Amino acid sequence: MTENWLAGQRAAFAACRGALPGAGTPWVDALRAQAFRQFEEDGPPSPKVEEWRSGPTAALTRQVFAPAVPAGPHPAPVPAPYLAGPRHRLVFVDGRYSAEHSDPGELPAGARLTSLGALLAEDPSAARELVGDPEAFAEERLSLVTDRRPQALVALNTALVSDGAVLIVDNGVALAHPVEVVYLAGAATVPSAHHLRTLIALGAGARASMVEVHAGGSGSVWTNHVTEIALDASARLEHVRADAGTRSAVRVDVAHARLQAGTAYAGFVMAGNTGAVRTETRLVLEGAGADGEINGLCLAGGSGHIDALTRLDHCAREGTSRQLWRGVFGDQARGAFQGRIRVLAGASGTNAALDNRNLLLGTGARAESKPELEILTDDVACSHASATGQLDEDALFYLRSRGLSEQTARAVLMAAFTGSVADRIADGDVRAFVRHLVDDRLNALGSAAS
Amino acid sequence: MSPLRETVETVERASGEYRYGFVTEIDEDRAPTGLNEEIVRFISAKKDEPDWLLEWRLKAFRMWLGLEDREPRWANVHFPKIDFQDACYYAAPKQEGDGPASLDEVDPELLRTYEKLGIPLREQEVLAGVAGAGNVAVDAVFDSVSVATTFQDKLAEMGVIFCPISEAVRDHPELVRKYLGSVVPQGDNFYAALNSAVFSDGSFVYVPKGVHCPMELSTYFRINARGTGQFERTLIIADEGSRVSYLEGCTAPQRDENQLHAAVVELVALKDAEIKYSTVQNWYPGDADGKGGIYNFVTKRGACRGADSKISWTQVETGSAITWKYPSVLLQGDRSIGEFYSVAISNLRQQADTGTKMIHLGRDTRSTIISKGISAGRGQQTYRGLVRVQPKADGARNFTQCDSLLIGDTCGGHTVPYIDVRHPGAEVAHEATTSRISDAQLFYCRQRGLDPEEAVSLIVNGFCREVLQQLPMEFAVEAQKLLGISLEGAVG
Repeated sequence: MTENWLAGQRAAFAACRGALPGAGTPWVDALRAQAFRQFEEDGPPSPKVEEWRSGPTAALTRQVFAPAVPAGPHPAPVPAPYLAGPRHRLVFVDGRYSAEHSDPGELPAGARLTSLGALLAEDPSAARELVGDPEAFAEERLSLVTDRRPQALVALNTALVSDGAVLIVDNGVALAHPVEVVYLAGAATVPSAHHLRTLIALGAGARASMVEVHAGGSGSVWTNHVTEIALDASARLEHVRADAGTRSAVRVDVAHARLQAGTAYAGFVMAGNTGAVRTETRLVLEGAGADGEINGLCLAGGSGHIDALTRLDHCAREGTSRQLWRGVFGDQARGAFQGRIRVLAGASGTNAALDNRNLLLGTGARAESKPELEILTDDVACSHASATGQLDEDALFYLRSRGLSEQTARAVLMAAFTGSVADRIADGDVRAFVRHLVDDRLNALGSAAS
Repeated sequence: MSPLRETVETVERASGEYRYGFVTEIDEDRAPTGLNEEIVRFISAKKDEPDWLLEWRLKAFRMWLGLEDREPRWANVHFPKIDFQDACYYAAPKQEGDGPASLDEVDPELLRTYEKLGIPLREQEVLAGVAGAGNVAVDAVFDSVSVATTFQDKLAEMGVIFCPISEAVRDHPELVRKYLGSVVPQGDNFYAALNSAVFSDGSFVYVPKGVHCPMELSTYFRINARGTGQFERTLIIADEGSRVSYLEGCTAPQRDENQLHAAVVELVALKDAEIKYSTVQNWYPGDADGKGGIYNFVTKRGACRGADSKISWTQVETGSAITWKYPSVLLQGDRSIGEFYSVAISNLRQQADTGTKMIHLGRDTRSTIISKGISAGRGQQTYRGLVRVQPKADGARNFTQCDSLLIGDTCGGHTVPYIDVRHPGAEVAHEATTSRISDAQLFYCRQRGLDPEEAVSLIVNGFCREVLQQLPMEFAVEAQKLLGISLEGAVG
């Protein structure tokens, strides 16, 4: 099975490497070749790799996904803008930038919003600074052995990436409006893979808000999306990754952010694909006094499967971090959460908290939770909490005694359960958009359940 | 000087030496070094075992061979690869004839050893006649064999069987055959397979229907011989409606080599039965440079087979260079209860990866996990636990609390809980915190006239209180003292 799958990827790489963006640029070719070798060495993730123990490995390897054809035969209708207010919008269709549907608008001087394909063509040296070595994603385990295997798909992404959004903001520049990036997948009928890469680099003191939305897809689509983020001193980024009615077989997304002194990263994940989702967020607090936040909502029904992973490394003094995750799993859905806070020696004065709660609605539903603490210095205050259960019967009874129908009462309680996470989004338009997505998704889960 | 720094230094000066590191010079009978089928047969023959048990051991040995190079590697403990062929799998104090009929026939050197350990076997017998004295029946296991078991007669009156497992094989084969390996099968894991093949002795307890065992049952394990491993096997069966409380304590001599201790403990609680199992583990931890010490790789598991049964594990883990231990409960019976209370200390260069597994299978089952980890010096401490609710465990409840206390900036405290819920009617909650002793707490204690060491001891004891309270009275005092001693060497 795995052999077939690997052979398929090998064939795909051989067939399309000459046509990928940046082909012919020596460092790009070398990087892709190196990344593919690394991927071949490590193979596709398996449940034997601890970080993938609950991952959608079967859904990933069940079909031999080949890179999607640009402008495929089953295009999805391009959705209207998601954010109500002014925004900078980029749209990618079947893994390629679509100038026709994009509307980058006016950006302040010192801010650059483009696509990876365009950047590689116009300014390859700028791209080189932003694209990380695939090795950079691998992390040391407690045993001090660097484990690259969990990052095999990042390596494959580096080898096969077709396009993605790029946001570069110079020192001290603040974007007044959020950036909306839409990754739209057609309803492919043959197994198709979308390898996307978003690059975000904020200079010292810069500020921005970015929303990445996945839409479309079919049971034959695999999206493999990597976002690389570098925040220079005191920069601030709000970063949302969301499913807007995605229907792909598997969606994998990995965000990797490096935070320098005094920076703030506020990340939010809304996972609601009908198929499987694997979402990873890795924050490295490299500079003193950095603040990292990763919040998420995992909403699955049917035979959906959501596997969320967070890794938050405190490497410097006085860092703070918060993680707030809520999961709602109906029918036979499976939800898994692995969250880790690691405080390295020297990161004294760290304050870190993690909270994961799951609601099980369906009799066949399953929730796994693995909140971890790895603490290597004593001057810290770290905590985690995890709880799994069902809607509180007393609360339901109370609402029903006030005249609400059972369905409405349930909806109210679920809205409260998920609202605490969505409410943490600072930008008003973005928050409204996410709330809307969550409502839609909960309604879909609720109507399927009733 | 900050109160913390001062404490660390005071404590370092107090150099907590391991008090049980002496060696007893005694004639011993041992197997040749190495491990193969012949050794397994040798052990079985030494113990004059029936064929079925030899076959059982050989099956385990073959399973172990199949697991070769499959030692668990996921735990956060690091040590050089063990050469399993470079150890002796059977060592026993030499005995004349069939072994001692009473304590008078026990080698006086051995009795002195137990006195040094604070386990006066003889005094216990004398105390028996004193009204109101709390009695503890003791089974003393020296290297691989049980040397003395006290109070057997009194227990026999109630129908309670408390004896070395080798004796139980001889006298109660039907019970041993029925339950041995029924909770921890031979091929369960690498170390359990090894133990099943070469286990030498350990305690056997059977409490008949409706009997509340009138006294605490206790086993003291002692590794004495050089170059040996200890592989004891304990089996406790509480029949319907019965109750028993069991304590174990362990020590070993101070040596520069590492010694392996791979025990298996199986508990079976039938309908309405209750087993309380307490451990004070104080194997030699090695020195400040990490030289020597016991590798404590233990599989402990209890099965709540019947409805309304209860199994409670309480452990105070202060010793061993490396600890790999997850006392677990299978909650099979409806409304059964599992509990795990643990205090673990890693000081010097000790590494501990310990926790529990609670597997909810029956309806309305409940489990509680309270774990307190303390790291100091260069110690590394990991809580690793699993709570699983299976699809039929309607109404299952779990509460878990794991707290870590770090003392000094060169130690580590880690928490790795796995929670897996497959029933929507379950409620599972987990909380964990990691912090250090705050300067404010220390300042307050010092201001009241406590010296830094007393202050730390007081705070640590308070931190562990919920667990220490679970220990039987006879052990609680010992455990508190042990905490203080373990913290002396490097805990601030």
